[in-house]
Amino acid sequence: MTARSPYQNLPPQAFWRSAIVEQSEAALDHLFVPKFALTHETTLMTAGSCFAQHMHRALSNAGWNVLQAEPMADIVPRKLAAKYGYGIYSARYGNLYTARQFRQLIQEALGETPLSLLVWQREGRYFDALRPSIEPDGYDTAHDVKRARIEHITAVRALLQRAECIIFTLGLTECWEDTNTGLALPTAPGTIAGDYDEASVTFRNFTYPEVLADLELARDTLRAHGLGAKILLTVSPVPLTATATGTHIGTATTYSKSVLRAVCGHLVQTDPDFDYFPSYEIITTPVVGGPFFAPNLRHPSPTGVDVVIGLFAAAFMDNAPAVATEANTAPPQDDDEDGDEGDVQCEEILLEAFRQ
Amino acid sequence: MTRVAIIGNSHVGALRDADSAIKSAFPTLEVTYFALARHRFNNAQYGEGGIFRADIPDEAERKSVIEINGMTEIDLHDYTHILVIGQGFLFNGLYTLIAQHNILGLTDTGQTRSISQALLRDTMVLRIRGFGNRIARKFHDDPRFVIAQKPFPCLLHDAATNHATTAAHPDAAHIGDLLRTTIADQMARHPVGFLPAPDALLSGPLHTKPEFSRAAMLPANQPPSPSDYTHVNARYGFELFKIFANQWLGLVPVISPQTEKV
Repeated sequence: MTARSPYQNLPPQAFWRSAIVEQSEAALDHLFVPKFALTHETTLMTAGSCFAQHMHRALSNAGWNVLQAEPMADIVPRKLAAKYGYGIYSARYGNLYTARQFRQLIQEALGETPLSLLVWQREGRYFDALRPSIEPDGYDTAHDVKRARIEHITAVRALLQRAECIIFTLGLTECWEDTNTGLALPTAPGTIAGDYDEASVTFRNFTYPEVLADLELARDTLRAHGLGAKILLTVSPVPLTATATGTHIGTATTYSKSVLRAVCGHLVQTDPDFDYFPSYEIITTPVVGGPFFAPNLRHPSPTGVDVVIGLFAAAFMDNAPAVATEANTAPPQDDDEDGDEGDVQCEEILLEAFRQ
Repeated sequence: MTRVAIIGNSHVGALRDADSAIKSAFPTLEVTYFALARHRFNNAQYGEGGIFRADIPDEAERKSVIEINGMTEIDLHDYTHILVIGQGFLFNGLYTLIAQHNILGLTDTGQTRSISQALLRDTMVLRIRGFGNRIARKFHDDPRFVIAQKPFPCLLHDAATNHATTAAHPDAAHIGDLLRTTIADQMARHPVGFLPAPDALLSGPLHTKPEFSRAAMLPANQPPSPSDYTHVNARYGFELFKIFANQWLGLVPVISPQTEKV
């Protein structure tokens, strides 16, 4: 009688040697097998930690139907618009590092919670504490912060109503909460604006159950409002910049990424509304020839981002857009823009003047 | 004789219309004109030898350029100064941005979307700086060149343009000041000269006085078109040239019946 093993007849993707060392094409095809279909017509919303900016830009440039709820006019140079938080995600919410921020934004946009108005100051300028980087020098008044937030939340509501798939990149588990309101903040006060005061903020390092609950509640809130968007999760491969846990940055990073990745794994296995795209594995491990880090050993290299987007497109191969549209989205910077509005007769004017 | 070339786009027409007045008022000057349609002017090249040459792709357009100028290029190497007329500094895009947004901190215009004054200011600086860099580079940073700002349009009551919306903004004076300061600051960085739209010819922060419009001097039987409000007439051309002649050549006009006729 021949001895049998449960690994005996497994496919190439199940083995490190064939899948990773030998980079078997057949194995690569199984790196990401989507649970739900995306086509070039599927309306996508992007959000998340800073790696999500790469996703947003690459998907937009590749012709996916990435929504833009707060577009900025093409006449504003793209880099300047990005400095003010335009065009880096589907709306101007800045980085949403944690599942708590994601859930909080959805609840606020859909009216489950009141307008989250938390204003920080720096040198006489006013900042929206929930997205302090979107106005680099802040606003003139707290009233301006409120006006801008109302417009933003209105735009996010419209965005959620249109989105068929939300691509959300989880960044980390560490977070500062405003003690009075319980609102999760993207940065500690004192980093971009505001003043750090131990009594005003509370440090949190979210656990697996908390992250899971936040993501499920975000989805439940969408469903309660009749919104059917699927949620495609990724985990940012970018390590933490700093940790407030008192532990080493290396182990703190591993904790954050492990919790986030484990939650994604659970949701993929148990919940039809969630899927997971392995950008974390692609960038940080040798799974497809990586790791792909820039020389600062923190940010993904351009090659790595290309690999991520290439595999994303390949997974939806039959439905992916055929043509990149970088050129189509480039803002016009032509001096010809400077004609007179409604001007159709300029040459006639010249002819008249010079005929005299 | 001091030789002055006046080159540019359709706005050269106002100075060309004032030619006899200019020549009477400044008899020591020899003035030559060279004008191209806006897109053709933007594409024209100023070569190392001092030749400013239009890039003309087809015969029909070539005929048109020759009909206007008698030539398709001009040798600028021995002109004392070259006045470059009708440069817009990408203001139209700024008018669009202002017309389509509520500017936080300024009077609410009822737009559904807002932008901060900081973003407006940064956009102004970047665009005007970019335009200034390009035009200065186009003329090799040669200080003989003086870049004249395109005239502001004259008021046309039912105009539904972004300029009209911006000019009607309750804080148009502040916006106008911001534009004027930005353009002056940016052009001061270049060796080429800069001639702004003269304040004395304006009826408001962003409007030229109606009497300086082309429409104001059209024959009675010629109904004005929108272009006749965005283009100015010989009186404006003459006034602009007087400022140029005074600032760059140190000349004052000789008063004669001809100059008074303009």
